Amino acid sequence: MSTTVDACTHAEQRMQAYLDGLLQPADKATVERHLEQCSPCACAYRFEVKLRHHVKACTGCEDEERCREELLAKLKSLCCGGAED
Amino acid sequence: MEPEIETETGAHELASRARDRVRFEEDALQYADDAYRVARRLTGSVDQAEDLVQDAYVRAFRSWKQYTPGTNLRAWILRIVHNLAIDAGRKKSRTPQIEPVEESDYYLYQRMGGATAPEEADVVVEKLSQGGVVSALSSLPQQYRDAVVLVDLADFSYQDAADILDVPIGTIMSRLHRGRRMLKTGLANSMELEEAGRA
Repeated sequence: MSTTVDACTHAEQRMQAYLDGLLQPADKATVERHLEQCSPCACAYRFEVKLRHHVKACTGCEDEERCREELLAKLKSLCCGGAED
Repeated sequence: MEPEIETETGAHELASRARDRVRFEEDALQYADDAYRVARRLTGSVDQAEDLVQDAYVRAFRSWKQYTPGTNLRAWILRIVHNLAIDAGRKKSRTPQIEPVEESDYYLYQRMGGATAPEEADVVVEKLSQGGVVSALSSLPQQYRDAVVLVDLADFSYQDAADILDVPIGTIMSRLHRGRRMLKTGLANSMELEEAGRA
């Protein structure tokens, strides 16, 4: 018989793979069932999801779009130019 | 007549090589966005990222014959970007990096006091400052940072990251696993330092 603690540990150990979408269907279903039933794990799951978004937002590059055109023009100018092999 | 045939063959070869090169350059330029995306996250500024991408394309165009047609050109280009970034990093700092401690998966969540409702978890995450996140990420040892940057921040697949870093996919998975945990430890430490500074 599995205790709640075991079920929580089971879910925690699979959390990153679950977030990455890498769990097998049966394992995924077990984790999802547990998250529906266990409030502390549901909170931790929400934290993990939000954390990924937050880290990405904090390190994001808002200037990417603006740079691409300029950069591409510079790269095109390198084609078959002085860089002879 | 033979010399003429030889000249003709030589001219054909030259023309064919020139076409191959133009095609290579056109194909390579398709990955400029990806190259910039990687470079921007491996360097500290827009200028450094642009320089890195340009250096990478100069090198790619110069050594285009080393590329084997039919293999993954995108990974080939991005690997050059990554290798140049590592070279630049090595020049800047020759101090050996100390690996941060790796804690359990919910370590950061627990250190931040947890939450009593899922909506509260959102608020808890927002307590992590942008400076703290950037600092924690940059203090990760290179190999773990690369895996986290490529997969979690730049949205490359495990396979793409493995091709770019030229390591097996299993290595990417284990580096990502450890890198994420080390990042959480670093975030917790950054947060505590900031709190101590405010006290």
